Amino acid sequence: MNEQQKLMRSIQIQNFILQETALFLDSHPYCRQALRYYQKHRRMREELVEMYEARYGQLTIYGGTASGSWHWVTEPFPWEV
Amino acid sequence: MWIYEKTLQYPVKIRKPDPAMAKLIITQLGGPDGQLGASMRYLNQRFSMPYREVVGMLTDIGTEELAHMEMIGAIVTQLTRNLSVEEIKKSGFDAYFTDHTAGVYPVSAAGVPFDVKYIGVKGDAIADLNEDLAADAAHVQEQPSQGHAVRPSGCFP
Amino acid sequence: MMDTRNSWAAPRELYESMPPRRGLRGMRRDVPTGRFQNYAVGMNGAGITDRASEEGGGIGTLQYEPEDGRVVPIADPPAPDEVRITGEENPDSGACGGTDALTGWPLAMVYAPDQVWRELYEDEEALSAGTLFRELNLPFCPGCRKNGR
Repeated sequence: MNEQQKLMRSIQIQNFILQETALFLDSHPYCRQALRYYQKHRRMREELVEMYEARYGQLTIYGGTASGSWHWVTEPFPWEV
Repeated sequence: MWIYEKTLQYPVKIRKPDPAMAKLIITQLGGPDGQLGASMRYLNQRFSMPYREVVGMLTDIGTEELAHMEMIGAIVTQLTRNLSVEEIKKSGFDAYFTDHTAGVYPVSAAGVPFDVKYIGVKGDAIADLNEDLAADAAHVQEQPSQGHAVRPSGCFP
Repeated sequence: MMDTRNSWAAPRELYESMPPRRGLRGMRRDVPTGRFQNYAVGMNGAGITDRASEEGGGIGTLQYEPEDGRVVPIADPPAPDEVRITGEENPDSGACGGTDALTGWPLAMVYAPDQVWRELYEDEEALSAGTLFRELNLPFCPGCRKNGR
């Protein structure tokens, strides 16, 4: 895997962890252990996303650095081989 | 509302096109137990649920199913790229190809287009949640059945 | 507990008119009040505050807060010997029912145990396993069950 793929993989891992934790919190909204775990991983994900968007372009239409070009369409979509 | 994030929930990188497999995998998209149905079921059921915990769960799971839908589309696209006429005919993919070429059109493995009748929304929490249990059981059953039908071909990283 | 009552309130009122049942997190409900508190899929119902969780984790004693503002400790369910079993057979044998953990709960309903926050996978393992929780890694084995066994 190249650097971009490795960083993307880390984001995918944190995304999945947050997805699973959110689902648990949906039915346990006051569970402190889960809330602490959520906050820790949310911070991790934010750092990874900031790094990724700075180097490789937007991950959402609200993200990225809106610089010389609209990376949303100049960079590949995730299913492109 | 929804925000799209430019990533797949799980990476999809298929090295070798295989239209015969695409014909079976596509049922996870447009079939009776596929992801399109699942996301429509959960995202619509949530409006009539009497507890916010359940509304939250259905919103989040329905959203996740949209991401799964995207992965199936990615798989089908990668399995059907750069096909020769010979490959199309040999693989049994020719009927689908006639109507949709290498496009992604939600159908079942038998070619039946997606039907919203696959989902149930009664507006009654217990009925709807029982439907969800049944749907998930069917979906979980489908995956290994598909595994049996499809040769292991080292498609996934 | 958050309520999303809409103008057609029938489902909520229907549930609340149903006979008493035990709290599904292993907590008990005040049986005499007759209020239906819990959902068939294991969540707190209206009025129950999970005080123990708010104060720092773990399942503790729940208190029930009906709309008139009383705070009522949730009582224990009927003990098995209070559940009357008709018939000649010795109830202790279980042959006539009445000895499992759900005795006394309303019939013809689906119940699911409440998930506990425990046994998480490591970060990378979770994505490969398809779940964050070891207890939810339940591989399907097609063909494992033959002839009803």
